[in-house]
Amino acid sequence: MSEDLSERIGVIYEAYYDDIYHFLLYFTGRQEDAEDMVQEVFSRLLRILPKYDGRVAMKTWLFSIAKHIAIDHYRKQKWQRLFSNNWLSIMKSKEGLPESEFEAKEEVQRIKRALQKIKPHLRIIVILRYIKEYSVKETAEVLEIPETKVRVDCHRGLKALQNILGESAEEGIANGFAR
Amino acid sequence: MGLLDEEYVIQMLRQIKQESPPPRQEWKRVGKEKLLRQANRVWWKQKVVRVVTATSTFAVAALLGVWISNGSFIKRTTDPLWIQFQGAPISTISPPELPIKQDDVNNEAVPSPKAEKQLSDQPPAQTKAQQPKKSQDQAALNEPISAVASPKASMEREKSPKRHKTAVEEQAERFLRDKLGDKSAQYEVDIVHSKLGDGQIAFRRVVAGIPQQESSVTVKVDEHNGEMSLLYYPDFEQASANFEQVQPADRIEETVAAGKLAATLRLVYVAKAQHKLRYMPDPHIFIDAKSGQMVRSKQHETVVLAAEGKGNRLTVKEGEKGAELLSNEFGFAVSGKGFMIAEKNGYSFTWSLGEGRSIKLFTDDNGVFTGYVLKGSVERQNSHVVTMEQAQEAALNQLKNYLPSQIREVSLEEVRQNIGATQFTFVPFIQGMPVIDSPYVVTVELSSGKITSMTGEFTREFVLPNQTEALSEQDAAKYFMMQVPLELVHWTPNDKEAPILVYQIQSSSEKPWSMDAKTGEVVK
Repeated sequence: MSEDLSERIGVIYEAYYDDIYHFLLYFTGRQEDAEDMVQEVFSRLLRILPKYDGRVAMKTWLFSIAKHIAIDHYRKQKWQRLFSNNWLSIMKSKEGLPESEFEAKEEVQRIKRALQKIKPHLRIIVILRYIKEYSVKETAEVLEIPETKVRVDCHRGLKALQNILGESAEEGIANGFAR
Repeated sequence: MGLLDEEYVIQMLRQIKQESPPPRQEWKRVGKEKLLRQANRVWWKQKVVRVVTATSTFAVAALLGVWISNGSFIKRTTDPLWIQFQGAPISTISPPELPIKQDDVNNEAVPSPKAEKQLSDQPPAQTKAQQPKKSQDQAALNEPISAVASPKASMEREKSPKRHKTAVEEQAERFLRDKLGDKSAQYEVDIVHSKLGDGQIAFRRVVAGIPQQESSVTVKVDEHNGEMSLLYYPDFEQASANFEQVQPADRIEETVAAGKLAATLRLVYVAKAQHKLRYMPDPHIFIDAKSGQMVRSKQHETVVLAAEGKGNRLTVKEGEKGAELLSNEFGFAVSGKGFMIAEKNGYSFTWSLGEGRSIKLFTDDNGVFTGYVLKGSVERQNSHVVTMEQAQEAALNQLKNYLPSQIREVSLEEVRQNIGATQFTFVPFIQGMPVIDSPYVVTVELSSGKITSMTGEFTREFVLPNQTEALSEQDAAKYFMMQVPLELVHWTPNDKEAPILVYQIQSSSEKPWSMDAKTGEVVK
């Protein structure tokens, strides 16, 4: 049985590690946190794996655990990145980059920061739907919510992002560094 | 600039995927090895449980056989081998003390303030600056309180030699100056609450040389990418208030304040910790530095209520059983297995109730029921059909059914109002002592009167330490006064009142300050 359990968890780990890692990376915005959390996801899975009856898809099960861990993490952190910025890396990367490329990179940084500011349940939906590009049906299955709720929350999530991005642009980069 | 185009936002989101770092293969490999080791341990644990169960069954059968064949169980207990076996403590290793989080601290019991003792009337102490320990100066206990009392000076902060700042601290200070401008001068590094290793530097607000309670800022410096973040606590920047100015000559002596706080000392039981029996002052009481009066916030007033535990033990090892329990015991009609998740401690089963509502049932690792929580509402109307008193009564009545039978009373520690619901936190009392780390939390929906959540360790049996080994209250007060570190802070009673100057116990950790009841030693 030991070999069986080890083998099963090993196979699942290889099959889903990257998926879960990326989901948690987009959620936290921090590679170290995502790596720690993905370990916690598989560790929790291990405890219930002997009871797994295949009724729910493994991917759904894993995302459900990851979602809980992500929200726990959010609650623990309570970090308000009011002035959060990444000025060191951005300033450094500006040198030697064409202006257009620099601006594109900065846009991605802005959206990453904005993503970290929206409510965790909206963030999860936005990640699955627009970054991981799951269909509405897949997102609904993974999160075990109705498709209508996925659509509504997607809309809310995008609206929240638009507001944050609009505000930051109006304030001339609210995080305080002026380029 | 108005809102960005939705399509544009979606495009930018898709680009995140290309910009994100792939998993580090080395980390992934190490993680897998760790997981496989864990899988082996899980298997061994299960095997050991099976073997122990089988052995126990066999041993019980054998002992029964011996008992029957000898005709007397008492006779067998005189067998030295049997005595040796019987005499072994069930658990000789105490569980490690769990760190108490800030949220947990808020949930801990507040000992009710007792009538002020004569301690406060003692003249201020004049001697002995050293911090005593029981073993070192037992003789000190024979002296009158006023002679031994010498709480750690609140001005220690000012007197201590200047510490060499680390590079991270300096970086955090620069960041704070950059973001807050002149206001940054109001903040000073709070090294006790900083986590230098994690790049987290805590600052506390200091007004006219005196810290303001519950007003802090934390700067987090990411050593890898230089990213810095700022966190306010509370989660907004507090406006400047009219801080009470009390000249040193008009303040009461620290020893007098310590004496008054000593009057709030009482025995508490910390079930999951190594030092189970402790003396603890009321953590929500402060001493007004001007008048010497005890002050406390209204939200932390506690009341002790009769609650005879009926000890109903519920076990859920599979979803169907959980559904049955929710329907029969708590009136939530659900069916099926539910969705099972391994939580940090134990398991949970979730059933959808439709319209975005769900109910989750929790168990510990052994399937013992530890509570349920309804997400969403039973009644959507806003009007209240139950009063606060009725809600409290309903909460307590349900809770009694599942409280361990050894519990006879609980204290209502906290009442928190949420939208349409009220959450009550009860702390059990065992033989008159609060068990401060085992709260029960019950939520009542005011529009339906329904108990929408109830959590806690319902089957825990509390093994009360021998109270006769504890120091007397008088001796405890002496130890308290010799060791308690007091500090002056600006404290705001509520949103409407201006801050006043008070003495409080200087916190050196997230745990409330306490002393071992047997030795008088401060519990770190």
